[in-house]
Amino acid sequence: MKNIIQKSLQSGFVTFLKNQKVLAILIPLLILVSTQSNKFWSLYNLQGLWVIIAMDGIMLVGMVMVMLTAGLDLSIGAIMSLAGVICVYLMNELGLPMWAGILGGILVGALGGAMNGLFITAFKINPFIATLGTMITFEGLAMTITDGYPVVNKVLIFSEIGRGKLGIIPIPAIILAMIFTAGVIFLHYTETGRSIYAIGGNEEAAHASGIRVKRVKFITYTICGLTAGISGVILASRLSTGSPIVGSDSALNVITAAMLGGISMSGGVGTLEGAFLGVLTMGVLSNSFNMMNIQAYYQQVIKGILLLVVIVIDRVSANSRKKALERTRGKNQA
Amino acid sequence: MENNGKPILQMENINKYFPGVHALRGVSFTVLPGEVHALVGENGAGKSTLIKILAGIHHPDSGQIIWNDQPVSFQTPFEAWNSGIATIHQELMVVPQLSVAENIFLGRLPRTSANLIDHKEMYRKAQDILDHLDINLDAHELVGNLPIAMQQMVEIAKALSFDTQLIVMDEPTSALSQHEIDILFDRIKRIREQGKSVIFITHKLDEVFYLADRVTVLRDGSSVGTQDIHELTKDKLVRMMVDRDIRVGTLHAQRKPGKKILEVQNITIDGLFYDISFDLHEGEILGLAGLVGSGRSDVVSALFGIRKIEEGQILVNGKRARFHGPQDAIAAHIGFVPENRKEEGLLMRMSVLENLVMPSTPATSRKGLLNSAVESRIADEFIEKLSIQTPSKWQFIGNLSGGNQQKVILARWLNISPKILIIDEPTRGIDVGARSEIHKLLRSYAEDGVGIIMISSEMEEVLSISDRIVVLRDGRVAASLNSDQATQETIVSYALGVTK
Repeated sequence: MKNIIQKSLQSGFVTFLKNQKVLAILIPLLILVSTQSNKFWSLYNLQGLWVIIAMDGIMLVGMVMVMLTAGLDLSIGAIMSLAGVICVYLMNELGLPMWAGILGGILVGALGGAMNGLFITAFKINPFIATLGTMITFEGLAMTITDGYPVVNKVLIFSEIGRGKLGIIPIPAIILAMIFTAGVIFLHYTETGRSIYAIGGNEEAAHASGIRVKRVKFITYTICGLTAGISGVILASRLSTGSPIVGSDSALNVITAAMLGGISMSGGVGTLEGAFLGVLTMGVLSNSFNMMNIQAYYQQVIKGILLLVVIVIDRVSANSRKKALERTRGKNQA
Repeated sequence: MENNGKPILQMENINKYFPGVHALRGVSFTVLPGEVHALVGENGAGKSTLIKILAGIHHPDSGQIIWNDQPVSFQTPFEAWNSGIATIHQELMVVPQLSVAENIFLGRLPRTSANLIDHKEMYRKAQDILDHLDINLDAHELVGNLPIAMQQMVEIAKALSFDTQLIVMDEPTSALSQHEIDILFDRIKRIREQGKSVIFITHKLDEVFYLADRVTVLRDGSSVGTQDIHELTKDKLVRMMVDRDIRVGTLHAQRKPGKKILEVQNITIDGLFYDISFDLHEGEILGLAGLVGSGRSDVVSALFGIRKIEEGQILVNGKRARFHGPQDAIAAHIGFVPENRKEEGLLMRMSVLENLVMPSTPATSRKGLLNSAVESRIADEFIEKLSIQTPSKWQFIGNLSGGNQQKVILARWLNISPKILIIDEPTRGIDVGARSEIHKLLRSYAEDGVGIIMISSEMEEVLSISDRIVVLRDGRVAASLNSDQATQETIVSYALGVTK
């Protein structure tokens, strides 16, 4: 009894430390940039920062769901580009109304995600390979539609989505808040949300408990594509352009942020709330580097190193979990 | 065969404990030079634990091993191999993408003076070993292209490439055809002629009498004795393997079983089991006995919709059931407690509550939203009813003891109001106190009309709580026994295929 209480205290402490991990980067960073630049806390900069965070943050909601099932989606950047291109194309080249363009872009995202889900569940293809394949395909499609050039948007009111504000709050940040809240509720309070955690924790046991594993996985990839579609439409609006290459860094950024925020590649571990701290940190990182006039190339090196460190930590803690499991397993086989 | 030499191996008074299990109880065991020594016993008798200790995989808690007159203690499998004890496990340890020669010398490839791999030398040496064993095999062949029997020969060749004096084989014939078995036995005899010793684990008594010089019988972690093969008959060997003192019938049904709720008719999955038929009645506990690998677990996973049957049919309450997955079986009020709690049953990083309500969430949730009030009530109810020892329902299930984890899984299925409960190894790795609680629980649910199918490798468990027993052998029904006909001896005889 005493032992159990002690263990739960320990595990609570470990979770606490895990949350601290991101804050250990975020807080010093905020202090550093506050001393180095007086523009960081300006309203103008914070508004810009939140617009940037909104793009990745919306996609994070889908990505976290995928990663919690021990999956991965490399194609979200390509989906994002494609959705933006389709959205602008529908309005400007085909002259459809704005709602049709927006809906078209979002729908393309969801369809792309559903395609990933289909490959991964029906054909049992490794998520890395499947989404690598669709990533290349979607990028190619976006290029084909635009002939390789960005499509320029001339529907002025469309730009309001990405550039507009409600009071002092940028509209993308409001959309992020809504989607994020929906995501948190979905993961914590719905049957499918709990199934997502169960699948990531032990797919075989989840299946034997009656969870329709394939259906749930399909849903996560579709949601992931959907969020990439939404993000793509907002970005196209903000840039007033449908660019076929605009999302090329996004997948890695969002995956890094999720892992930084405590989502494990091996599934079942982490929360969307924690992962959001990861996205926040990544956003503040690039913004503060810009404020401190650090070259973009350095930024990339630092982000890369950050990803490597996070992967190593993830691997080490997954290994120790596995070892603990194996120890008990060995004992039970007499 | 001359047995007058000093023993090459002496294992003395070996004890090994796992939590809740005294796996080896002072086992002593000797191997003479140039003998084939068979190790037999029922599932869980301790054979595998004993050879894993010899192979350096497990370490004994007490006792000593004397090898070639020297006390030894192998910390790793590699140390055992290097000392001349080679173990060939049931799962072969070959690298399919490498050649036969590379597999034989893996980790110790011959080098040239420039420290590069000396391919010529490697293939020459490998071919030498193969020819010496009269194995008709090209050392250049990729191991992945070979049939299992030949891969096993590669392992034997690898064993002999060390200066091996003792080869341990764990059920080497389980995956082989008769012809391949003949070849294997011929090679084993050849190894014996070279003065080397072989320990041979098997469930097939014919093989024991064909090949072994001496036999050691283990039962419940103790050695029953070692006998010269000439002093033994099959009947005598079976009697040594079973414990005659089990008290039977402690927990049998108080009432007559009710109507048929499950009819299994001639179901087959090619390669796993064939033409299996049996019935289950309300309020009945049906024991499914047989050796590991006899198809017991595969049959029940088909009943639960995890595996698809290829032929035959399953009737639930007289209606044909077509299960596309566990969710359909659950909808038909069938529950399944799997054999490997940690791999197939538990969601380790989730709470007691989440583990408990998992299959019932479709019923308790409203429009996909979890109903936490109902879930809490269910969890409290079962924690009390089954006296599950946990500080709270929010505790990670991984922090509970094996017995309490098993109770949570049982509760999971009791909460779907099961008509049929399938339970595979109900008390594996569980301490004695929790065992009898689980047994009583099963009986009390049977009294309430639930039909229970129980698989167990423990004879005592099968005999003491089953109302009827179906024995499987090699994927087929070998016998169907009423509890008054069933004794440990008849069950073991049917499971081993030595019926008169």
